[in-house]
Amino acid sequence: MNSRLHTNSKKKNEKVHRPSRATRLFIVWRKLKKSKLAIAGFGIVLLMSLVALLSPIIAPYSPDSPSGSSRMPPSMEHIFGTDNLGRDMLTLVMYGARISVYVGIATVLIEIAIGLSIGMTAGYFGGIIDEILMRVADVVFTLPMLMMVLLAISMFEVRSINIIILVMAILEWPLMSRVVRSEYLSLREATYVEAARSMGASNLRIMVRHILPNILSVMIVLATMDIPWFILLEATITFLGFGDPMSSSWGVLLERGFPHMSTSWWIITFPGLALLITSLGFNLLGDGLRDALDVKVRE
Amino acid sequence: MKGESTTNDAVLKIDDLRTYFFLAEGVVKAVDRVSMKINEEETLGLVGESGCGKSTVAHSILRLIRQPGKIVGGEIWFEGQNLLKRSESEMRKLRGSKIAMVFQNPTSSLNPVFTIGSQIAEAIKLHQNVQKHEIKEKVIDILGKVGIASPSERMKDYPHEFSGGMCQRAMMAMALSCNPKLLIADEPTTNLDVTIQAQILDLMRILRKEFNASILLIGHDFGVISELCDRIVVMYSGKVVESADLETIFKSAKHPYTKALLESIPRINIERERLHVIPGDVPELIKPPSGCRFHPRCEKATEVCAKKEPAIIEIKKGHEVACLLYS
Repeated sequence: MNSRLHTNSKKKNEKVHRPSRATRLFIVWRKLKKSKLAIAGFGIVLLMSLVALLSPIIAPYSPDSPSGSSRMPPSMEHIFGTDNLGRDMLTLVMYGARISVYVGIATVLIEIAIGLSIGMTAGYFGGIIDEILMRVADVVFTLPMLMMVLLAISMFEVRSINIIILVMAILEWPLMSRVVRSEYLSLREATYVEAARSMGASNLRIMVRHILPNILSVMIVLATMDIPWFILLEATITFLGFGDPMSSSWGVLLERGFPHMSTSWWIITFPGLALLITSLGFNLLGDGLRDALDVKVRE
Repeated sequence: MKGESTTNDAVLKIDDLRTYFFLAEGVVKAVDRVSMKINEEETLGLVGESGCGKSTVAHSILRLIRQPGKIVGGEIWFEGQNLLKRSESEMRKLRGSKIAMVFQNPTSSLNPVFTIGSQIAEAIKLHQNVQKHEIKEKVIDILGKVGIASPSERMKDYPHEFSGGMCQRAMMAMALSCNPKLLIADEPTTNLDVTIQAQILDLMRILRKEFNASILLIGHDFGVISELCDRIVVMYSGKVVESADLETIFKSAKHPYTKALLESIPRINIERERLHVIPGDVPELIKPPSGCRFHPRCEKATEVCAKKEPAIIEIKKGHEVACLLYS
């Protein structure tokens, strides 16, 4: 009895707990933590980004010179084995992450730049502007993707990774612009947009300052989901022999390892696994972020 | 006294305004030759059923009519200039600074991803050239004025952390942040419950004194309108049917529609079996009834009413009616 009373009074004496004014980023993180899959995705993405950034420091061998004899199976010295030139596969996969993650992120950034500006102009203004922009998007969208990419890349004499990035972004923006357009189409009718207009905000200001932050979560999710898609697409292009041989992305490793697949499984398996895990990671993270970023979903 | 000195300086004068909506099914004359004026420091109530065009009038004043709507004719005079002739960028400067508007859904009128404080700051930044630290002070000051407790704390809240009434207060803070000459309140209390309604009306009364703004209060509820307004304009089906000062409307309304509206206010002190209901619906504006638009629902309608459209006439000083019974 006594002790019960005691705890009661203790509770009352405690300061009234008011939720601290956490920053939005922190709230997002707190929500994200709740999903195990999202955390797994976040972990993978973080790991791959770290590997990509730190590969010159953490890679056990040099990516350019042989560190053992040709096609050694996985062992303690070479966990992932060596390739046909005797280079350490682990080192190559680590350096490959550099290129592949760069490809994914850079392409998505350009894709956003194109897709966002076209989508928001079409959705916000509607009418004839929308009609024209969306028909252009439709045309680009209906082009047979892979063929167009290969065609476009083969038009350039120099095989550069940056050209591949540019070509992929230019051919892939329509989907993003459609999503952005539909968001703007519905949000331009929102009362707060009308209120902003009644306060004297210009169209550009409404589009960028009032509506864009509302679709930021959609954009982040889309971007996260598109990164693995571009990494895979670049790998495909490279595997088909249209890649940039100078930058050994995972796709390049796959292409080089392909002839040795029947004798040395490790040369193709580890880059393949890296590719698989990374795209899985980005996808899981994207799914988790979709829920975590929604301000309206309470914790 | 006050009435005499101010009747001549109208803050806003609407003349023969026509705002049509061009739909595939036909032309909807949402506002059809509407004239009215708002005097300095006056609160004008614009009353009518849903769909009678009262919000369209408000949007026309700020030129916020969007496709497929269009202001086809008329004049809107504000500070000696016809608003309908001004460029879009001139209108932008006017919106929010000289004429501000409060909407009927307070919770959705605020942007969900910004804090209340930053939204009011945005309104200030749009029209005033003030330093950063001054803006914060201004925001706190104005939030306090509209009755938000501990404004320096609450300004960091997001709209979903505010109640409906508080959101409406925040909206008013935003509208009043630049000292507008005219405040348009489009059914500001419609989505709030009764006690909050009363609080908001009280607040508007206080703010009217403090900011010396004229107010155009739009509503369908005579109870709310009568609380605040000096003069009332009744609209039906895109047209003004009657306008007079508050007392005249309540004591000697002339138009059958105004009378019917007044009879449909629930009252505690008068015993009656059932509340009066105006029979029928608001007419479709695509093909409005011939003659007087109210005649199909009017108890006093005669044959002439279906044929002749009544003109609005002044039957007494300051009391105008558009009804064939009085012409």
